[in-house]
Amino acid sequence: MAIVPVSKELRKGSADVMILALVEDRPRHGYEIGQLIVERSRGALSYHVASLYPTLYRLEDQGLVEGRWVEKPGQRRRRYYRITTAGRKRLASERSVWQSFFLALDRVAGLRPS
Amino acid sequence: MNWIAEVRAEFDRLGKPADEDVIEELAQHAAAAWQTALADGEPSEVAARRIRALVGAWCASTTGRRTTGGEAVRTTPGGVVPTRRGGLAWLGDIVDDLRCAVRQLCREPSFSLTAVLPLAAGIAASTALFSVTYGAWFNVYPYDRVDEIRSPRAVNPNDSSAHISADGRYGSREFMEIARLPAVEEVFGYAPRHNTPLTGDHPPESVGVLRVSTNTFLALGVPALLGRTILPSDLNQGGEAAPVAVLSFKLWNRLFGGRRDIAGRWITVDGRPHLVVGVMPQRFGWGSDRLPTNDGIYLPLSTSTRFGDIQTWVRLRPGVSEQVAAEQFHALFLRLSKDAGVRWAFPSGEFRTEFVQFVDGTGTYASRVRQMRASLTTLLSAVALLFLVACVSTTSLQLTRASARTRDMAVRLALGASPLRIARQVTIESVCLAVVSGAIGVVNAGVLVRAVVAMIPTGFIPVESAINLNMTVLLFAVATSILSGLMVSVVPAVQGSRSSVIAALKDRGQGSGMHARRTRRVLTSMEIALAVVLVMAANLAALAYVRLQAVDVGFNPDRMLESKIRFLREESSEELMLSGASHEHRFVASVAERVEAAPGIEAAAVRMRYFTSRGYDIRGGNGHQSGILEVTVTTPNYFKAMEIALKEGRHVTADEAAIGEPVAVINEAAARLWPAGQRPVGGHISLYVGGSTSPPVDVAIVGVVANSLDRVAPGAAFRRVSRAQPAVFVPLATTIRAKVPGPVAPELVVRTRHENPLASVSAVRAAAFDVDPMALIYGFLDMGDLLAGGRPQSRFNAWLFGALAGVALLLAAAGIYAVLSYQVSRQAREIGVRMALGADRARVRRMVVGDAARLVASGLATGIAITVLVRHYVTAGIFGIPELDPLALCATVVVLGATAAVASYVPARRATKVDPLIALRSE
Repeated sequence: MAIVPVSKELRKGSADVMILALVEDRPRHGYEIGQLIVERSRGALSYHVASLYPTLYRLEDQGLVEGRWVEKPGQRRRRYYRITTAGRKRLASERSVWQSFFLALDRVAGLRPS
Repeated sequence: MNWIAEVRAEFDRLGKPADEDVIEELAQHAAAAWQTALADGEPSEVAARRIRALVGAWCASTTGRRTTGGEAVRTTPGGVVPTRRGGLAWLGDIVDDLRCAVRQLCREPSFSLTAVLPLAAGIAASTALFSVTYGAWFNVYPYDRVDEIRSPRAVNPNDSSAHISADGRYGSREFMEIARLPAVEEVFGYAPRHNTPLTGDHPPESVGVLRVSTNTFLALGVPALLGRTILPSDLNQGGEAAPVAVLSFKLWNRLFGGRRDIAGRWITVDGRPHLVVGVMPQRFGWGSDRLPTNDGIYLPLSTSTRFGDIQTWVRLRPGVSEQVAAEQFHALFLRLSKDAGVRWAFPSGEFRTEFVQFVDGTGTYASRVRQMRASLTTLLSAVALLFLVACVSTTSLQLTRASARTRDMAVRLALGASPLRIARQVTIESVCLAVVSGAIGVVNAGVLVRAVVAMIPTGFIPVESAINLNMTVLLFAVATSILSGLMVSVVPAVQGSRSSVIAALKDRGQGSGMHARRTRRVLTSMEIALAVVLVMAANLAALAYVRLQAVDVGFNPDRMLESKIRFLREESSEELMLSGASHEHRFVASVAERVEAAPGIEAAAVRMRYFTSRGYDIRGGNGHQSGILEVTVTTPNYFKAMEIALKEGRHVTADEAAIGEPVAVINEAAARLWPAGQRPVGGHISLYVGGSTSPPVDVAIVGVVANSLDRVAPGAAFRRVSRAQPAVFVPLATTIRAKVPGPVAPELVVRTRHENPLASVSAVRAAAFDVDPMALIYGFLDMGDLLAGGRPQSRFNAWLFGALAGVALLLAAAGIYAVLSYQVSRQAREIGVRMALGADRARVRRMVVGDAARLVASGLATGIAITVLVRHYVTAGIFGIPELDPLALCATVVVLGATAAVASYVPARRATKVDPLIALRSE
């Protein structure tokens, strides 16, 4: 599939909303989040490990996600991130902003295939 | 693999302090990646090496600290990047912006067109006028080092009598002395241009001849188009000039049909054969400062003959300052001014020596150059104004588009776009728009330039100017386009980058709020104000033109041709003075008859003028008067040809004119010489003309005609016909019979049937040639054109200002329309509510029209204020008008009012068509 160039600030904002959405239904660890971004975008998007974690830390600092070390038998200790109430609120508002943005974009530019 | 140890070692190696959490999490990531690689069947050695390299990269590019400073977080790039994105990202962003801008332009073609057209008009007008200015002012002359050509002048401002040195003219001797000054590299010049007959196997022509110093063409560095120029070798040892001639391009075409074999042929100039050695190119008009035409013949100036009046030009030696040169010239002039032989050429008393640049012109030519520059400056300012109006107009439209996209901007800002980034995108869009406008503008500028050049009056610009769209002009157009793009983007960029997401989303997609609306009103009001200035200038220019047209000269100058008649026979005018009726007298009468019979001619007459030399005596009047009366000797149809009105009595009949009855007609000014109560018709007057022994001519007055200004010079239109001199019109036959010495310089006046009287020139020439092949009919003047002097100039001004103002008005009207219709669509709900509450249509219409009126009133007030402030500049280039004219002011108000009324009609109508139900439901 074609690679869509996405401008910088869109990316910046979109990283937050993607991460929040990925941890919305269940807690996930960093590696999983990164893999899911690649998978769900079907390879259109990839990520830098070097900035994935700082983004997670920032979201955690803002109280939008919560990180916890979890130990499972037979497995290495892993840090899982789960969404907080504030995170859910932010996700909802971001979703509406993005939806109205895409709707507007679609109205103006006719993005959806007819 | 112990990934924790690996990561910690890596941070240590980099010397970065790292939190345990960060180390462990990165290790966890590496472990997960390793496991996946192994599961995918990648050899463990290879996978370990690859992931170790990755760990190195991660550790190098991330901070090891868990708690990151606010700043660091914000500047960290997003967690997600598009794949395959290289460096130079900013360039990619600009390309994206460009692509986006082009898409935006194409998506709304009608909107883009309305935004492009004003700018295109502004750019076309400025480019066209710039090319005229560039061609006629900055890059006029094809001559070598033209800026270094100077004329030395000796000036004493307190000595009012004209000395030729004040115009840079000197005699042969001073010319030679100047050439010997150490400061002078070269000196070249020409004797006064004069008109000389050119004869041969064709009707004689009067041509302008300029005798130039033989080094002139080398100094100017312009090669001949055909053959060669005049060279220093055209002077023999004794300083005598060879009989060679170089033709100007225009004369070559006019008289010799552009024949390429002209070089090597002999022509007869002033009765002497000259060998044509070459033809100069079209853009060559050396010496045209004496006459605004490049139509003539160049002959070499002998040094053996003394000339008293050589227009002198010098180039100084390299490195010699003007001041040093002026000192040398001054010393020379001081010495010469004490010499009895040439003292007359220099001012008396103290004088100073200075230089005049060739490009600034000398003498009357200098004032023409100044006039042209003033005119061009005014026109350029007008074009700059139009350009501003266009920019404001496009800004206003861009703002409309921007306000429709407020939400888009706000969302992008909310998503982290920097205000600068938004501003950049808006700017790129505007520049794109401007570049498209520029392209359209340049194409149209080509057409405009041709139209303007066709309208430029003769003599308005130097004959050497070549006006076209050259590289410099194109560069100007590109610069103007980009500048306009930047100007147009300022307001929308500032507004766009300031949008607030909350306000924009609250606005529910209806566009911008109060702020943008106010900005647009201010912009439109500015547009109107600038248009007012232009309309005012156009009105003043039109007024000047109309006033020139309306000047009463006492005769009808339209379709009228005037020329001089001269004999090339040996019978000189002196002889004529003695003999009275001579061949010339008889000839003159038959020329008038023959010309009148020629096709396309309504009437023709010859007039000769002289003055009473020893006064006049009105019978029954106050005795002998020593005053000067103008006596005009005419052939029969003179008043018919001139269309001068008869006020009293009758004309001289054909029979009286034929046998030379002593009768005459006088003008109203002469009628006032009669004592009060006495009627001149039926009276007698004795005219004392000629020498003291000649008897007076007694004539009976049979009629009185209107005063007329029949001796017309350029600019004479400003003279009043009421100030005409007293004149007596005597039939030619009467003067012959009275044996009055013949007056000289007969003039032929012809009333033609052509709109362009100059079209009859050849018919007139042919008729005269039939009468006498040695008759020279020359100096043809189109009286209609000549009379007003400034008329072609004022027509040019009126047209140009009119066109500029028209475009500005159109833009202002579009601006008013756009603001009002936008307002009406925004106020649909308010209007709906009002109408639901019982407001009638008239009231709603008043609301919209009142809105328009406020808009126009503010613009008009500002515009008039600006006009008052800049009135000097407005009228500097429009001649013969007052700075502020109440008529022009009223006309401006009316024109603007009418424009506003037209522009607000549609929105007002639409407002009254608002259906309250629909308006309210849509909420």
